[in-house]
Amino acid sequence: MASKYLALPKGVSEARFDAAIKKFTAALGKDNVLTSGEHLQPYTKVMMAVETEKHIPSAIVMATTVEQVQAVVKICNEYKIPVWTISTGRNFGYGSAAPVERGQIVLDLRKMNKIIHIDPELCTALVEPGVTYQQLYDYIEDNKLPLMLSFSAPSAIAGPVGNTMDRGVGYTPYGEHFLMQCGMEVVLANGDVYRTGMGGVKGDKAWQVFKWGYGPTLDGMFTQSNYGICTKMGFWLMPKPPVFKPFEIKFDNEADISEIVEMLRPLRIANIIPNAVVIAGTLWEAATCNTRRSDYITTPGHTPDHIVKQIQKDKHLGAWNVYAALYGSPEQVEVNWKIVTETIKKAGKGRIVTQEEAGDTQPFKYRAQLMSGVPNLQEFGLYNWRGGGGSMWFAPVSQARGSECDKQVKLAKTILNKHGLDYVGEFIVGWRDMHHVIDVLFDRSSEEETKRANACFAELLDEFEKEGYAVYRVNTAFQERVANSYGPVKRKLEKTIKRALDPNGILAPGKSGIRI
Amino acid sequence: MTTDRRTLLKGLAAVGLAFSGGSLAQAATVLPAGKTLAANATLPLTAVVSGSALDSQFLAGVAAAAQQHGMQQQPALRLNGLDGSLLNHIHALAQDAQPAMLVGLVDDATATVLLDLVRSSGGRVLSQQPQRLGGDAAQLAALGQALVASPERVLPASTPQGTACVSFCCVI
Repeated sequence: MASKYLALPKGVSEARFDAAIKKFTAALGKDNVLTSGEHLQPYTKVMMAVETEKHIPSAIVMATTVEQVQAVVKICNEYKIPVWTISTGRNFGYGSAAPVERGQIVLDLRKMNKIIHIDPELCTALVEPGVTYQQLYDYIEDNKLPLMLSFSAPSAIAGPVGNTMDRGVGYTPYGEHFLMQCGMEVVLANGDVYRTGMGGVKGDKAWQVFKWGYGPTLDGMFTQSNYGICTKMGFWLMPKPPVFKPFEIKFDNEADISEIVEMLRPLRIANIIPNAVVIAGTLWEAATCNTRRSDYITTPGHTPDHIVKQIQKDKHLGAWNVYAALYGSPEQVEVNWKIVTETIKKAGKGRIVTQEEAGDTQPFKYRAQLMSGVPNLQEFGLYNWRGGGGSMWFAPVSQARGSECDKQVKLAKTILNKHGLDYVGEFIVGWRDMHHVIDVLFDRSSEEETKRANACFAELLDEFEKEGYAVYRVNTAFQERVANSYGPVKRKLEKTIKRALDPNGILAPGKSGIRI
Repeated sequence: MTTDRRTLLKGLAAVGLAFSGGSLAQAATVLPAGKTLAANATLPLTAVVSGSALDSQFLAGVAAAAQQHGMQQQPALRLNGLDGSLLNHIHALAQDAQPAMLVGLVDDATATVLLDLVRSSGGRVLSQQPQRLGGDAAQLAALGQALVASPERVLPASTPQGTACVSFCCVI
């Protein structure tokens, strides 16, 4: 007989699930427990190249207080119900709001959306998981606070807790979000409420200013993991600088990439350029300034190089487009600008574009906004490049060396093109590391292309691993696979911790490949 | 069979509208209300488009269906690009005490943002399908009609070399 639920948790009968739903309803209220297909449907939209069926939740439960989160955990333990927690659920390209495994319930924390405090003198914030960057931005603007946010590209609709817990990054000098995190409150699987750092000290006021506390510092183990549910998070905000000077450097040839990284890395390490330097390829740029593949070519397969060159010419783009910014007092910015321009001049290649020259043109405008903490949605334009709703981020990490770039681009492009897909990528140069972020875009309305995209992603992981690279983050369909890249000892330790903290394995089993 | 009816049926076939209770040949030019419409017919209806060449024919289909079924149609929401107005429109609809039905045909980027805002506003998604559509006026009008009258029956369409977009019907 067909179940009245879209899916059931693994190993849980319908009658047992009925009983659990009844308890969730008693604890949270009927409006906060959803099981109808119409309500669950938007939680099942996955952009990954796998069947939607594999990631259908069995129910959505919404908590509004820490006590309710504790109640959910208690019921999950009692009925052995696996629970997948989301904050704003905007982890686009890494799994969206859907659970890692079919049948898990989704604990949606979007209603826990209080900005608990912002301290404009110490430049700190403490927020609940449902707070969005737009909400914070509005608060800062409304109260005229001299502070600046850092966020990832989905900015407005994403939130700091989810992004930081997944170790996402941003584009300002505070762009390493986990580095800037300071103090967490976590509900553990046994229902205990644990505060990291100084948070456990009675009468303490230093929770948001001193991360380390005493003894082991455990914040990191709650990120990209399933050891607890974060219900509050503190983080540092950047004081708004008197001068913000964004700039772009366009390079005409693909072969310039190695030189670009060698040229800019010393400036980044020395903090002359204090934010992550983005080096975006032609198709990334084109897509984010509203260009579609179908404007140029409608035949299936990858976009030939001569078309990419034509787009570069038509849209006045570089083969590589570097974005960075300077921040500080007028004197500081003047000195650093001189260093940057002299470095470029010495290299003998690259055209500098300033904000005054770029005006309101895209993609410069949205890049400048991201680097100055102004939310926007422009980068969603990537999803229109090919159309069809498929997107998976492939993001291997390497040293920030020019010698890494050429071979990575060639390898990625060869694999993507072999599977009929385009290289749409950018490098993000951090303090000493480099993320090579590639958006594997495909048409989910085509079953055949979806299969190709899946095979392509698997091959990217395999072939990059052979060269000594692994990704720093991955969509839920490939988390088990990527866990293996990091070796058996790490997996064994993670399992040991999981069994100790969550003996029933109720918290997001399968997240980052971790289960009991 | 009248020309109008033949055109409509051709359009319905092209958008892949599935009829569980009979063949396409049994369909009338006025699409019968499906169970979704029956449950939501009193809600104000807003059509959403995102500035493509497909918009006008799609909107004509929505308007025709709204009129046929006596629905109160609001001015269409014409989203143009990924600026803040998209967020403002959805927040305004979500904050309105009265529920509203949205039917739309928008690009993938807009759909990604819009449908997720519907989720976080506690909305219900009655239909959401990837489409590849050509410029066939009958097909577009039929899709608009079908999304209003019987969204649960709309299936994906794949016109070779068609424009990629997403059709949806939701209550917010």
